[in-house]
Amino acid sequence: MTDRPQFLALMGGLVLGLLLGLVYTWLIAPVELVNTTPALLRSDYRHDWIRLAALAYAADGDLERAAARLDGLDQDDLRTALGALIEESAAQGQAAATMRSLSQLADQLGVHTPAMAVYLSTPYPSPAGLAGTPATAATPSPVLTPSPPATSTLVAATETRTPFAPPAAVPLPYEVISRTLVCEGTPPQLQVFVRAAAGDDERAGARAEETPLPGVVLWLTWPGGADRAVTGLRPHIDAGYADFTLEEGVPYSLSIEEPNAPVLSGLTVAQCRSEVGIDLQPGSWRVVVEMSQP
Amino acid sequence: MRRLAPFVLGGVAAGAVLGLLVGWVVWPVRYTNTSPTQLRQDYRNDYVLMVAAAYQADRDLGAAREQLVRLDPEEPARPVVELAEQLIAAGGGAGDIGMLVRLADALDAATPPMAPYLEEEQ
Repeated sequence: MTDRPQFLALMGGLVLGLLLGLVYTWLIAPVELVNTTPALLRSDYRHDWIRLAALAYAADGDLERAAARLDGLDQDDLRTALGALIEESAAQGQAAATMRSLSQLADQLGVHTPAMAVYLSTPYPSPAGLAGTPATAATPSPVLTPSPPATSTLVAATETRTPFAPPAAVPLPYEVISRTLVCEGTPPQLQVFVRAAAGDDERAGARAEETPLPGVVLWLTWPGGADRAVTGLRPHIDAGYADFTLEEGVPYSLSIEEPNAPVLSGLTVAQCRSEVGIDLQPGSWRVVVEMSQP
Repeated sequence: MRRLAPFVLGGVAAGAVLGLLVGWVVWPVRYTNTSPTQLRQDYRNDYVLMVAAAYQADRDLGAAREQLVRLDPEEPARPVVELAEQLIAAGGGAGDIGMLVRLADALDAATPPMAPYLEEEQ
């Protein structure tokens, strides 16, 4: 019975000491984290990290490095950030090569969005030397595996990439095979259908069917301006379709992939005419572009 | 009362040790909302490199600047310049240096060691 006050004093002291210790360690001198990892970043910064890693992959095509940068991050974060990036990039009309890289990375990480389906569904016979096309773009991507911590910056010292070697100018194998004036009563448009040329099917003894090409970047240029569109964003019309709105009296040029390599020049809005030769309304141009097989 | 003082002091001491152990080791303050400035140096380097690569992909200088401000609000270009010069001095990968130099140049922060890379590009 005489031990009870002593026990209570000990316990009281213990509780007081514990409280003091916790106040000191949690509030006064908490563990200071200065060497954190991307997984601990605030949600918006973490999404930014994922976005940057994906865009960096689009620029350098290094899947292993991208995997190392994204290693340890929450799968839900990856899905959200990558999905948003791809949808946003598609809406902005980013270059097909960039979209294809982002889509491939997302596909590897199990992210699927409607916009990326365009770039994954059809293997794009990319002409050699297209700027920005990663080396891994046409090859099956390796399975993502956890990689060592991101010490890549200085490790990269052993890489032997050639600095700033611009891609050789390779003539793009696109050709306009038909141009038709269409009178549909709509504001004048340039409707472009891009297709892969039909190859000879020796076994069938006949020519194979032409294949619509999604993900091809089209440039419409005119004096003092330019516009860009990507085929395949309206699959209900055609997987290789894209259109531009035209204005009367402006001479347009149509280029593929690069804005300065026109496949069609001097295009202006033409008038649809009645049988007796009276102008009725401005018409639209329907152009079919064929890409020869590499 | 004086008879109990040693017990109280002993309890406080033991409790304090326990509190320090719990607060620093067992359940330390868990930071889950850190900013890029608190990243480990290799991740910070990677962050800068990714900003440069992203700039190469989308040419959005405004976005690149905004992302660099998170590392250095006063001089956003400084981490780019420092990393570029560090890699140049260490004989780093030409691809990485190229991206950094291009971003530094776009930010009007190119330095003499970067000149050969910029000339090579032109």
